[in-house]
Amino acid sequence: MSSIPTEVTLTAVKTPAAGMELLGKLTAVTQPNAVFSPPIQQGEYTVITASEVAMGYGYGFGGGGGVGPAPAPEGKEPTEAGGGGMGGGGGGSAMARPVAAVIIGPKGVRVEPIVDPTKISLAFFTAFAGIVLGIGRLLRQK
Amino acid sequence: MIPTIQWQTQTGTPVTAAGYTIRPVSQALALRWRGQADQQGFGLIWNRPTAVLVEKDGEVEEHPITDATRLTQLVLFLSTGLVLFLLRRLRHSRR
Repeated sequence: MSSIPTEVTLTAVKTPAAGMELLGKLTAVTQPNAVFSPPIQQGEYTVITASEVAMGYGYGFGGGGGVGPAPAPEGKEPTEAGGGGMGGGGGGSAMARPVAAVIIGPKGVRVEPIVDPTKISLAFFTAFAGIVLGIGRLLRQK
Repeated sequence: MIPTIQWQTQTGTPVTAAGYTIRPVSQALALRWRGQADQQGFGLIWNRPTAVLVEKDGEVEEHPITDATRLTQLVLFLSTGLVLFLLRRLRHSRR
């Protein structure tokens, strides 16, 4: 139940168009099948996990070129030569967190929430610290 | 270039189990931006499950999916904000 990335994938693309095509595949994340798992059957029960999925990505390409005098042998007229280059990069990250389990059994269908105690504990302690600091300030100003 | 914002509710592929047909429903927020000539860009996608539509014998029932963790976090932060606001009001009224 962790949202800490555990896997890094590196993919080399040779052209901006190939990069765009790769990023286009990420839109599959917007489909419902990305948040609902395939059904898992155990005895009379079937379970489907529903998860929240979030992802972000960014990319950039750039290039440049120029024309200038090329080194020429002594006594000869310098000639002009051109050069250029391009480069780019991109990256992204995705996280998924289970939210609920849909349980289908002989007695019907029920949705059971999945609670992340770590996130709630962190939120509780942050809120508690905020209130303690607020009271502390109030007492100091008496 | 103006970023593209899409907010869509979608129904997924139905699943049949124990005589029930389950249709998953999700909401996705997609924010995409592409620079000039597609040379730079970024995107953010957030997809969350909202409900399952349960169908049996022609009757459709909606079972909403609540994110209990997110709800608890929101309640905790909002109540902290309210307490801090009230403390500040109290401090100002004593002056």
